[in-house]
Amino acid sequence: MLFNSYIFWCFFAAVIVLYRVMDHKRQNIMLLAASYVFYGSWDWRFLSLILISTLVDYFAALGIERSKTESRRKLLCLISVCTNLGLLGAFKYYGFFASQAVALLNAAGLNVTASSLQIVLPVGISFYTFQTMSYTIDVYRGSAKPVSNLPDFALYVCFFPQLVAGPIERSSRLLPQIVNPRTKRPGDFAEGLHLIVMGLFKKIVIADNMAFIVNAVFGADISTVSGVDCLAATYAFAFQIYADFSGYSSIARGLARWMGIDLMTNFRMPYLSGTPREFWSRWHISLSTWLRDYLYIPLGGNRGRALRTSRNLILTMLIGGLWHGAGWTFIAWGLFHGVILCVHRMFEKRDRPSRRGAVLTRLKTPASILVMFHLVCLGWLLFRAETIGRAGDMLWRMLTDFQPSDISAFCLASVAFYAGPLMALELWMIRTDDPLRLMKAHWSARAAVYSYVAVMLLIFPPRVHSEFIYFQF
Amino acid sequence: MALATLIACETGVRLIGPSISKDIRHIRQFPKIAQTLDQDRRLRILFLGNSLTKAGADVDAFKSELQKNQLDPACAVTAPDNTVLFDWYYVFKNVFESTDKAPDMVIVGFYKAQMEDSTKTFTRSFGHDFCNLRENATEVFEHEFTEFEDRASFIISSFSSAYTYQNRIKKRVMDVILPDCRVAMSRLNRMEKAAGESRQAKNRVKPPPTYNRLKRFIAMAKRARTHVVFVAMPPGNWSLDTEIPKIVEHSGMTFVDCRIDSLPTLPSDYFSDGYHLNEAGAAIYSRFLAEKLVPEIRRLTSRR
Repeated sequence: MLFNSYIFWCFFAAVIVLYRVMDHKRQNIMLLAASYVFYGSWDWRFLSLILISTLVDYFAALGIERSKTESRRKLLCLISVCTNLGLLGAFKYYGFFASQAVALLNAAGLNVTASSLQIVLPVGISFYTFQTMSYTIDVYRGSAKPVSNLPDFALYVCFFPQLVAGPIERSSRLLPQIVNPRTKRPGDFAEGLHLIVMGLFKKIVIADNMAFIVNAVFGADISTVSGVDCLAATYAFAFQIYADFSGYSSIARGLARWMGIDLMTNFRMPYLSGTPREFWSRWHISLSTWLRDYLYIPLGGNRGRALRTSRNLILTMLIGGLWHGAGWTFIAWGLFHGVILCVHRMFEKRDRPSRRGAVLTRLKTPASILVMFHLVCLGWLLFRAETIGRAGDMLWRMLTDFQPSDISAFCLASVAFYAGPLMALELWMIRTDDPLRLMKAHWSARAAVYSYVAVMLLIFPPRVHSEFIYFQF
Repeated sequence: MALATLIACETGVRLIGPSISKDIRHIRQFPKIAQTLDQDRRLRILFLGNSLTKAGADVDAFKSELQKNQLDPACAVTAPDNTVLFDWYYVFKNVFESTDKAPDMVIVGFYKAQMEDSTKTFTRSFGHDFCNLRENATEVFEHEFTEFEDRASFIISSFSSAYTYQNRIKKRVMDVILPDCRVAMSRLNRMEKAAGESRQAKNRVKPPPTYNRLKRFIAMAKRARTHVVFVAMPPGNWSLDTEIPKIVEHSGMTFVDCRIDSLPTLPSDYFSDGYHLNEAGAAIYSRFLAEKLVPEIRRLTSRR
């Protein structure tokens, strides 16, 4: 059930009507059932995996809390982590690593074949396994208390707005909102509606219209596209993935808001970042903070010498890349971001400016924003290409073939037409660094924007909608 | 405010829709075409198809060829753009058969996979222009749309012109904002299709085509006492599934092959864009078709 499908909205209409008439306890049970229906609609077999993850982490966390010895606590935490990583490894990475091992052994002269298992990748597995792992680790660290109500915990794991593509919620944020009764707040409906409408606009109007261009150019015979075509398609992909993912997150937040639940902001105008560090504080914030708290800092973070910090950065980003998919292009993308973070760190000023200072600095350096955007686009080229070779071919073309064509003209004009207004809005929002600044604007400004969004949603969806990109992770 | 904008859009599209699209104007004329044809006392022949038929059916050349054989039928054309048998079935049903205005002969021009059950067009025009929700919903949901999304789209398009014509409006706006965008889009379409086909070829074998809709169309025509002529149209010598002429002829209807090998006097420069016949090509095609149909038309005329 996609957020931009009619059946989802029929489903959600039923959920919200029931939600409004139920008390807190029944609300949670109903949401749990609805979440399992939502998840099972992709493939009912996936339910067994999420149930395994839920039960293991629920009992592991309770066991950790009740254990008297450190070794037992550690063992239970390890069981939780290994179960979740095991599920991830088996369903997401087995095929890739097996094929690479076979290729390596064959290259070494050993004639090896591996049985090919056709394993279906369960939707959202990368998201919910990380979410439940963070819960158990937090309980182990003592920074969270385990919940003693299994249905409440199960709802934390599978809450349908954020189940299949995040945000990856921490237990300290989401669990209290589940365990405690929700109150109806005055701005919930308006803000939820704003988030949903803007999310649908980003996904249907921007992302889906860019998808058509991106799929054609990235899938074409390289000899039929020019360097400018490749560059234009890369820009198109940059806006496709941003609009697709941030659109989904926005809809998820809006849906949750209508139920009185706050999900975290996952994107904060990332393409207006001036540095790699800033980019990762604005892009897929739930994942970048997860990697920071559960990987980068335990590895040592920036406590230590520069070489060690660089190692930690690169390892963290490598894992971040691998999280996105089992493929060399994702690993290369992660490595690329790790390297630019390291290089930036080498040249970064020691004193970090204040938040207000950061805004002013940003305004003074549009050049840095432009450079950072292009570095990110270079990363997207690696991310989107089928193979590293293909990314290399396209990059070579960009550097050597400057012949524009009707395709590049169309691509660039489409990017400007569809994504330009969004970027203009974000340029206005970044002045106060508030993604919801529009909600506080004069009614005439809001009316103009919402009218524009309504017309674009009505007239400019493409014929064929593409699936949300992050569903494949 | 957003709701007011949407209402304004809907109103605007209903008012100006026919003036921005020749095809919409043509579709809106169908009841009048059916009425005019029905009131004619001569043998009534309808050309039914898409833009290939619209471009290829030169009614004057067709009739002048028949007149050489002392035949003088009344002819009309209903050929909405971007349609296939999926749409023609309901055009014939709702405009002609259910209103008791069925012609004596209908000539259905098709190309490549347009007769296959799996070939469907865009649900929005289908729901808004060719179907009646109350009368066709049961049949449509049983035979055409089994998925919720398609059914929902069909229902919404039955009510909303803006929703139905959004793609036409989008194209018009894009033509203004991005001149020559259609050339680029056409090229990107071909690139994407080629990339998609190469991926699909690796992944799955296409199941053999089925023709249940074709059989339903023939059965409906029989009930309306209409003789159907199915014409495999130019351009090119595309691969025709032999199942189609078998089904057609087995049911007592007529099949005419007008692909390029059958029309040696129709070279490639008689196509305006490689697909649609130009004026000269349409005249050749229509005369050829008329010549082929003389015996059948004579038989039907004598039956009246």
